[in-house]
This record gives sequence, C-alpha cells and structure tokens, in this order.
Amino acid sequence: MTDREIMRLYRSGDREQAFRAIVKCYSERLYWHIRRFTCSHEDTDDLLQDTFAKIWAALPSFREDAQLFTWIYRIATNEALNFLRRKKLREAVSFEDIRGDMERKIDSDPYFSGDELQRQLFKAMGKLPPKQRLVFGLRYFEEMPYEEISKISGSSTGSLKASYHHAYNKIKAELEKLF
Amino acid sequence: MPFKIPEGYFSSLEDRMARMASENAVRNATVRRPLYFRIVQAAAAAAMLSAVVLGSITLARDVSDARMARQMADDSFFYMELMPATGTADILYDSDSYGYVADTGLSDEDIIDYLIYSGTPVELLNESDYE
Repeated sequence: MTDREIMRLYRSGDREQAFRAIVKCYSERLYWHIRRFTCSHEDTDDLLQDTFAKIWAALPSFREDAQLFTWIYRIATNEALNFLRRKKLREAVSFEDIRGDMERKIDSDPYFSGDELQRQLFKAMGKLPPKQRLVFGLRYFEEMPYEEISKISGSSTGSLKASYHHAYNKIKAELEKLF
Repeated sequence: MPFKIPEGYFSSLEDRMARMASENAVRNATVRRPLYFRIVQAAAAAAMLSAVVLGSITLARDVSDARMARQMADDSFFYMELMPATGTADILYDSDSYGYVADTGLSDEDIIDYLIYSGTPVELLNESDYE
C-alpha cells in the first residue's frame, strides 16, 4: 500500500486500518533505521513501539505538508537521537564510555549474524557523532537520496554531504587499522 | 544488515500495535464528549471567569472608595481639632435663632471667661465687643 492510499484510508475514517497499514509498511524499515543507533534488539523494540505510539497519537495532526514517509522517519529519528541523549544523561559517563558500551553490545549481541568486517563496521559507526551516523546509515544502507535525508534531518544537502564524507573517512580509517 | 531478528517478531509487533490502536480508540471514544457538552462546559468556564474578573474589579473599587471616605473623615477630625470651636463674636449669637443674644443672656463675666478660656489675645479684641 502506498503512502497516498494509506492517507486516503485515514481520511475516509478508517483510522485503525490506516495505522495498521503504516505499521505493516514501515515496521521493518524503521526497525533497521533505529537499530543502527541502538545496536541492540531490545532497545530497538522499545523505541519502535514508542515511535508507532507517537505516530498513532500524532496522526490526527498530520497536515500532509510533508510526505508521510518523511514524517514517519523524522519521528523515528528523533526517538533514536533522544535515546542516545537519555543514555548519555542516565549513565552520566563520557561519550567514550557509551561507545565502549555499544562495542560490548555488538560483541555480545546474540542476533549478530555478520562476519568480522561487518562487526568492525558497526563498531566504527558507533563511534560517529549522531548526525554523521544518521546520514551514513541512511545513505550507505538504504541508499536514500540526500534530498530525502535533508527533509528528515532538517539539515541542508551540502551539510549532509560533508557529514557523509567525514563519516566515510573515519570509518575507512578505523577499518584500515584492523585490516 | 548483519543482524537476525527473533522469529515472528514483525507479525507480533503488528499485533501489539493493532491492539494498542484499538485500546486507544476505545478510550478516546469513551473520553470524548459530545460537542454541545463541550460548548456548555466552555461557556460555564467563561461565565465563571467573567464573574471572578468583574468581582475583583468591583471589590477593588469599593475598597478604594471606603478607604478614601475613611481618609476624608480622619482628615476632617484632624482639622477640626486645629480649628477653634467658635469665633470670638459667635458667642454673642444664638445658635438656634441666629439672633443677637449678648443683651439677653450673657454677662460680661461670661464673655471674659470665654475669652480667657479660648486664649484670645487682647490685641484682637475690638472695643465694641466688650464695651
């Protein structure tokens, strides 16, 4: 079902059915989008539920100024970034320790199924600042156009290109140390 | 992505989210009141607010008027103490008929007692008053 069909369904009054369609269409994409930030299935599950709860609550106020896709991704991205901020505050530790925590999560993740190179790639991504991690994940894994990422993040395409370039170089440098 | 997902995760997520939406929809339907009820509520709240505002303004004005009246009364008492009860010649007139009573009721002794009592200096007295 396309975004337009979902919104038509919503406007016709069948809100629950429209919401179910959103969950069906977006749950897998949002899951991977959030998981790139959390590095853990449990945290991703929590954030994904929160994201859908917010989407359900905010759907009546969605004015269709933006595309449904952009709007949904923006909510999910905000949830993921807030998760990182809360984690930083809660643990009251430096960013280094959070990165160490993320590396440990990747090492001990029972759901990780990649090879060593992929493990190191995710560890290197965990060291990136949130904005660079966002743009690198959406561009590298989802091949999303900069224009779309710009609508989600609210940053200009020029700034996003620069962020991607920095992220790419940092990850390359990290991997070159190991391989 | 090099991660596995628990078996049946997405279908379970869809079920959980559908359940959440249904529960919220039911809750919203029970909580949501008819439009006329909300209009009456808003009108009642507006009336209550107007009463409070107007009451506050009126009360403030009454308090201000009462304070002003009390101030004026206090001032008049204050000035009354500074003013002599009567002038030196008033004693010669009857307060009821405003007629001249010097010849009818008051003796020279009464007049002298009054002048002493009121502390009137001799320089202020006209000869005609005591001749």
